[in-house]
Amino acid sequence: MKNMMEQMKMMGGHGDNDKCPLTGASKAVSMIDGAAMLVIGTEECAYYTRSTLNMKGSAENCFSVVLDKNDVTFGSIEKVRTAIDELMQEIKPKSLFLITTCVVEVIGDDFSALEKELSEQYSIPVRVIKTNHYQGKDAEHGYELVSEASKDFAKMNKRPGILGQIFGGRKDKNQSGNGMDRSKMLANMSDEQMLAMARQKMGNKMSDEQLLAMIKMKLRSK
Amino acid sequence: MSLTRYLPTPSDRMGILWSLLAIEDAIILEYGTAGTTNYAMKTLMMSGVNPFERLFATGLDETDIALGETSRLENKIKELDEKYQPKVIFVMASSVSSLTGFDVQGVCNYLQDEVNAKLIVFNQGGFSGDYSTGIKACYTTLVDELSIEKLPQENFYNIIGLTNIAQNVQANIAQIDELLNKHFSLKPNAILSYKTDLKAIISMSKAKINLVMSYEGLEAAKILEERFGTPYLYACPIGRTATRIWLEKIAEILNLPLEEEKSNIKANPQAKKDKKIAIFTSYDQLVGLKKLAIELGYEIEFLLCNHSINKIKNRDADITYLKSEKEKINLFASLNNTLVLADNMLINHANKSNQKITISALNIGNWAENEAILGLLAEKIL
Repeated sequence: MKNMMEQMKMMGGHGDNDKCPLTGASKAVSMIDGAAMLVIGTEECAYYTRSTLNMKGSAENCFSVVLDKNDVTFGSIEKVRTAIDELMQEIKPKSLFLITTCVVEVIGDDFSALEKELSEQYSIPVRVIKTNHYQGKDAEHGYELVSEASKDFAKMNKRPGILGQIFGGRKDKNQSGNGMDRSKMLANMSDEQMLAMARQKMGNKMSDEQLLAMIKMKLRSK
Repeated sequence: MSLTRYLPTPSDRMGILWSLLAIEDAIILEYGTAGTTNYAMKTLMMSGVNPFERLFATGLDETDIALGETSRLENKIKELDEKYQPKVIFVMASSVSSLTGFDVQGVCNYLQDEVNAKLIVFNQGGFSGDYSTGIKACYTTLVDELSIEKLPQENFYNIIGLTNIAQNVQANIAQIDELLNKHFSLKPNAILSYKTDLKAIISMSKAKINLVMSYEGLEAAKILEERFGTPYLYACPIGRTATRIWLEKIAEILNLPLEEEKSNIKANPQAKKDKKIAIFTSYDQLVGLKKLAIELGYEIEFLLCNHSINKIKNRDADITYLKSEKEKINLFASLNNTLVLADNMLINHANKSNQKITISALNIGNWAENEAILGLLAEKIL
């Protein structure tokens, strides 16, 4: 454990923000029923995202567009359009998240304008999630972005939107002040929503009563 | 054709990083966002590779990128040098630092006088090719920078070109070890790149022969031959005939006898009629498997390489490479009544009329998952 703590200190950069927003965003999207994600970036971002989700058994809706030298020089938007077309033909998701990474932001490709156009073209909500880590934000920021982007999904799809992975021992706000206020979010949820979320995280190890008691205890302790 | 549904082919940078992680006492510093390194560490740990106290990141923020600030890199190199007192610090650029034009080599050049560790820089940011390009650069740089001192020769051999990215690496090395020990009483020294250390790489000159198992290791072997006069043999022996020839060549190079009764690898198995084969793996394994498949009487459907082959000189014309994942999927979906040797993703697209064996998953860690295909064991599969 000492080694792990030392390593974290030596990782440098942003203290508590060592986890990239991409990790949070991808995990959050993987928990939305019927949603697909398209990670746009380097092989590393695509590989590690799919690999991590795969180990948790939730990679089936994780796709990517890997950018090469040509895309970095001349732009990647057309390549991404082609990939989205392929994806829509093959899996027909209920919603689509375009998760852009550091490289996309460095080269200045702006996918925001595609949101409306693609939403209309495919008649599903399409959202762009920017996860460039050099802005100093962490995994929770990724959750927050997906949560914010999908808040109107409940109306559109008649089911609750994404709420992300909200439990765990970490404090609510990270040091940079960009973290999501999980206590507030939990307080606004119904018991059923909280239970559904908790089941995603905890599996069937605990009864509904035990889970609710644990969540409420956590809320009180905040 | 630009959609990636499964794991993408690892980049040159990933090839370098994973190869360096095979050096058990290496200290690696990435000049990039901590998130990418953290993500890599998470995947490595989940795969059974321990990156703790070996892999570090400087962190990067918007100011660094806008102003070209390199003080994080300088401070972190000094910090690692002081804390761990390593022989070498491998400094790697990241996609962001390479895109924004940070001069990592320049910083390390002027910082070299201020630290005790030797600084070895890898400037590849992930845009210069796939993992094969990366591991080739890694082998060449490691040998060029570290294998400098000439030592007296002992009963050792080095392996160059069996990568820890391939899941059958452990079984392949065990097979080579068994053959070399049995026939020539030689022991392995450095293995690039699988469970090795700096001491073994620094002392590569003590080996009597360098066994080059893939084209990626050829340049490194040539450096060692030029520097120390160490002979090398470039071949990927698969099956009895190829292994027999390979052992004979080693015996000839080392001027050692190859005892007939010990080798006992003469008979060829029966030729298989009306049987088709399709293979997807790395270039040199494809070359070896092709020879064996022809010898066994297979009709070859395709030989598809899992990395780019355009930089391989005098390459086998039957071996092809497809960049598009969709084209690869379509190719596998078109197979019928064929023996399919491939990775654990594409193999699922071949229908049930085919016999399917996973041989070439590219994933660091989980090394004991596949059987060896080098040496005498491939005929168990084919």
